Order: sequence, then C-alpha cells, then structure tokens
Amino acid sequence: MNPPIVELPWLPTPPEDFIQRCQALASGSASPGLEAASLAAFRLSAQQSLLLGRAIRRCRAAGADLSPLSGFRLGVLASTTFDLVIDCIPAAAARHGVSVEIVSAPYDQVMQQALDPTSDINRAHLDAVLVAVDHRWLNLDHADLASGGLERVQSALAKLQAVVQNLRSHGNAAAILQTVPAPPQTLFGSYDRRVPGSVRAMVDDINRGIISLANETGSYVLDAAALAERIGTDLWFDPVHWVSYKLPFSAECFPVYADMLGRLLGAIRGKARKCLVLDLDNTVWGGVIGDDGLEGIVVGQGGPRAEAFLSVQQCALELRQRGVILAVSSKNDDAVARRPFREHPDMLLREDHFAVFQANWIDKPANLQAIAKALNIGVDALVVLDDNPAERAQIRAALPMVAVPELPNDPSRYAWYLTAAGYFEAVAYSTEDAARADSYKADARRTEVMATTRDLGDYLKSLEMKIRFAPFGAKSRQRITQLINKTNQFNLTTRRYTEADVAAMEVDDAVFTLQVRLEDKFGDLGMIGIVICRAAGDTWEIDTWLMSCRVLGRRVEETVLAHLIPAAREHGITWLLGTYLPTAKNALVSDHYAKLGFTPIEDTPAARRFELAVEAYKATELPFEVESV
Amino acid sequence: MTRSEILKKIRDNLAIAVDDPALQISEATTSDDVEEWDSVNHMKLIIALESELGIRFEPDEITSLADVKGLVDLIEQKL
Repeated sequence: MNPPIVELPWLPTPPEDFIQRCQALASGSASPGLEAASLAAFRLSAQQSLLLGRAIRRCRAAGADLSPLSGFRLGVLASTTFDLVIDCIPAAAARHGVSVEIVSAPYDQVMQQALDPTSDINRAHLDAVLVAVDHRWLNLDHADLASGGLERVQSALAKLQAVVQNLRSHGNAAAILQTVPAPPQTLFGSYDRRVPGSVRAMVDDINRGIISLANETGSYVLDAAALAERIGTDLWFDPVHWVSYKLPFSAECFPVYADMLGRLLGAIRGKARKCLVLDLDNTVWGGVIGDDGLEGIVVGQGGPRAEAFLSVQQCALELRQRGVILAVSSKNDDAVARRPFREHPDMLLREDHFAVFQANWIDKPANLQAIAKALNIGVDALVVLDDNPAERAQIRAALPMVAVPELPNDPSRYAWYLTAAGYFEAVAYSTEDAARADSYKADARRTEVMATTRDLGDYLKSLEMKIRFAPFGAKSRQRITQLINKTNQFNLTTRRYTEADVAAMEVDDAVFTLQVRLEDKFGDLGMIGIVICRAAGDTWEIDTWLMSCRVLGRRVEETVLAHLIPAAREHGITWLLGTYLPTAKNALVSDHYAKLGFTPIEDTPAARRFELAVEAYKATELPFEVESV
Repeated sequence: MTRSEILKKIRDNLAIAVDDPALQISEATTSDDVEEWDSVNHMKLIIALESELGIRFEPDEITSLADVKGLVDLIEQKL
C-alpha cells in the first residue's frame, strides 16, 4: 500500500517554532513572501494551515509586498460548508508560489451568486471562481431508474453551464470546475455500472460532461474525483460530518484538497516547476558508482531493487517526454558519473536526456544555482530528487524556494513521492511543451560552451554550424508566412505577407527569395531567416530581411550576404539596395546594413537606405559549412 | 490524559478557532463567555479535537457541547 496521501508525506515535518514563526511573519518580516513560502513548504495540518493563512492575510492587510508569491483573487462558490476547507487554501497556495485572496459566498448560494450581476462574487474582480459542488447539489445523489438518468445528467450540466457563463459575463472570471467523486454505496453492486440511471452511471456521465464543458468554455478543472479515488471514497465521504455540519468530505482530506487547488492556482500563474534535478548514487541506481563500479551498481530487470531504480528512471523519462527538463547534480567525478549513462546496458536514462550535468564535489546548493543559471530559469523552478536526508536539509536551508521531496527508504516508492507532490501541474499541453526539454538542453549546452571558451571565434567554430539556403517552396510556405508575420525585432522592413503572397513570389521571375536554415552540433534550429529581393533593372531592392533572434551574434547575416552576392551576379545584378524602416521594436537592426559594409544614401526618420556595389563586396572567412539548394 | 490536560487541548484549539492566542478558559466557561465562540468556530473546535485526539463525536453530542465542562466530560469518556 502507498502512504496516505492525506498526510502529504513528501513534505518535511514543521519545525518546533512553527507557531512563533507564523506570529513573527504576521507582525512584520523583512521578506514576507519568501518566509510565507518557506513555512508553507512543511507538512501542515489544517490548524497549522489556518495559522499560516492568517499570518499571510495580516501581511497583506498591512500592505506588505508578498513577492516572489504571485497574487490571485479566488472566489469560492460551494454547495456545502466550505469554511474549513477555505482555512487551508492560503497556506497551500503559498506552497505553490501564490498569495491568494479569497472571496467566498455563504453556504449553498451557488446559483444566486453566479446569476446576480451585483452579487459579492460577481463584483469582486476575481481571477477565477472555484465552483465546489458535488453529486448532491447536482441532484445525482439518488438513482433515477425509471427514466435512465439522461435528463438528470443533462439538467445538472445545464446548471453548471449557467454558472460558468454567468460568472464570465457578470464577473469576467474564469471558472474552476471540479469533477464529481462517486459515493461508495451501491444499489446493485457490480451491476451498478450497467444500469442507466444508477448513481455511478450518472456520475460517470457527468464527469465526461464536465470535461467537455471545461473545454468548450475555457474553464479550469480540479480533478476532485481522481483525488477521492486515490484516497478511497470510503475515507473521502463522511456521513456523520455531512449530517452534522454539511461538510463536503472528510476533514482529514482538507489539507490535501487545498494542496491540489494550490497546484492548480500555481500552474495558472506559471509557477509550476520546470526542471527535475536528479541525484545519482542510490537515487537513479543502487550503490555508489565511484566505489562499486559499473558492474556493481544495481539497476535493470531481474531483482526488486534493480527494478525499483528502473522505475525512478522511467518516471523521469516520462516527465521529460511531456516537457520537464532533466538535470543531474551529484557528488562524483564527472567522468565516473557519466559512465553508467554511456555504458550500462540497462539504464533507461542516457546522457542525452539531461540539459545540464553537474557532477563534481562542490556543495549542492551552488550546483543548483549553476543549473538554474545555465537553463535561464529561477531556482524556484527546480525539484531535487535526492535519497540523502542531509543533502535535502542542506538544500532546503540554503535555497528554500527549491522543492525537495522527502523520500522513504525504499526506492520503489520514489516515483510515487515525486508525482504525488504535484510539482509539474499543468493547465495546458501542446507539442511545443513536449519539445521543450530538448530545446532547453541545446540552449544550456551552448551556454556551457560559451563559458568554457573565451574567444568568440573559437566559440562559433566549436558550434559546428551548418547553414542551408533555399528559395521559397510549397513545403516551407506556412513556416515562411508565419515568420514574416511574427518577426518583430530582427526585421528590417516589417512587411507582412499572406500565404497567397508568398506563393506568388515563388513563381515570380522578378523576385529572388531565400529561406535560411541553421543546424549546430546541439540541434536543429530550423528556419531562422528570410530574404526577399525585388529586381529593378540592374538593382536588387531588398524588400524583406528578417532573422530569428536566437541566432544573433553568430555571423549568420554576413553569411547570408556572402550567399546573396554570387546569386546577384548570376542574375546580372550590380547593385544591392537595403532599406531600414524603424518601428517600436526593430532598433536592434538600425545599423544592420552599415555593419555589412553598405553605404548610406538616405537617412530620414521614416527610413534609412543603403547601397552596395556587388563588385565592391569583400569576402571574409565565416564559421559555417554552407549547403545551397 | 488528565482533566487539566484535556482542558489545555480544548483551550489551545479554541484559541486557534476564535483567533485569540491569549484566550483563557476554565471548566466553568461556556460559549456565552467567549464572544467569537459561534457555531462555525464550534464546528472548527470539534473537528480539530477529533483529529488531534483520534476520537469521534456522535451527531447528537455535537450540538449540545458549547460548554467546557461538558466537553471535558465527554472527551474523558471517549479516551
């Protein structure tokens, strides 16, 4: 059995002086946001959460700046007695980077508050409203065998839809809908699922409907049904507290429910963690590579311990596939630490999967700061998985914004702890997210090389860049159009063209088109530049020249010019005419043509023009391998 | 657990519920004596005591517990 999630076992136990620290926070702290986040990072009971929540509220009331926490105005519309749940929310939100202010409506005023344009909730300028209703409010708490439940479910969904739409139109607030946990009692036993109109069948239906409603209305979803399921609905539901107080679910579930909501608010505010940093010895494999050697470490199939470490690797790999960046921080010699990734046949993780690899004897906090810097993210985006309690304590003390889950002794439970903590909560997912781990890896490697090579020329050479030139074509048309319409900074004229315009240029003899692609040893950067020249007699007027800012400082523009010159000659062109049209965003390239050796011929606030005689161009050596189609 | 230890548990949790860290009570105190001891805070107190002491109150018991002596009696019975 897994540990009880209601106890938040991945969080460390609060310190003895927790109450005193809450009081100190309330009466004024030098960095209240940081102190609130530090105190929230403990395993807090409902009572402790309440104390911390009050301290945060007092800081806010006193006008304190709560950064680095992000503000959030949350409305709560509940069909049950929600006061005790609300008590737990501010501390849980602070744990996930958010300082939440809550406006709640009295017991069971969901419809009234949502529909009335002048209600407290609708006038409160809220960022989002949690619609905390359950099967009882939705009228799904008793079977509808006579008519099969269809109308019941539809009318429940219609109620929810009305709430969502009215919150949006009257209060301009997004809704947070929650899925509905199915109560444990059965009517037919296993047969319940096959009877239309049974509570279980109706709850299944409404949960599908709630997801569709959220998709259609852009609402957020809090998966209360999934939480109740993993806790167990016999524990989740509490009939005594229901009849006595109308409590929505068991009081012992309040802190973990609040934590789940906190994760969601954090994700909405962009505070979800981005990078998983792995310790190596006894975290991703059993044993110590420096002592036990490649043959001595334990990982792979064929033995519970070996498989346990494999499950940690599997978990990390899956996180990476959805866009979480992976890094290593290990006390080891670099070459020794890398060997299992290169040579051990049973390892799932390979060197390639890591954006940053820090194996050395420097203390971990310093390494974590280096990792964050290399990735250009904050330390508050890091999660560290480390089996060593002393290292964990050292990291927490030095860098309280880094998340460091507690771990049990048995590595077969590591993955549970890591995922149960909800560090990587998402409110959207796209293919770009999936590719993010790769793209960060490449950027970090480039920075690493930059740091170790002093000379720019050496650096550029070390990138082993391959540049490819090709005219516009049907296959690239969409991407070309996208770049033409979204590039603002490195864009000399900021002329926008439609896909049809681009297609016309492909077959226009008077137009010379160029798409530029770049690859280096760290990865393919894709299409990074576009040039359009229009012929007028013996002159090419450069209508468009734009490039991706990712490739600044790599001498790509010089290489593009070096490619334009022979092409111009082939077309009988003797002059290139360059134009710079200033905008609010393209000051970056005001000297573009001057730097390339063009001569200024006109300089007004509206435009700068430059010319270059093709014969006057002087070739230089450039750090690229060139391929031309 | 002695009666005075139970009394201290009640005081500590009631102090949190009514947000008065300096709250002082005795077995003679009733909800009328503490301004903020309303039905919502009473519920908070009961639930906090239940989770801290690992006991459960019956629905009938809960409503009639707004005096400290009755509460101590009941907890003493359940422990």
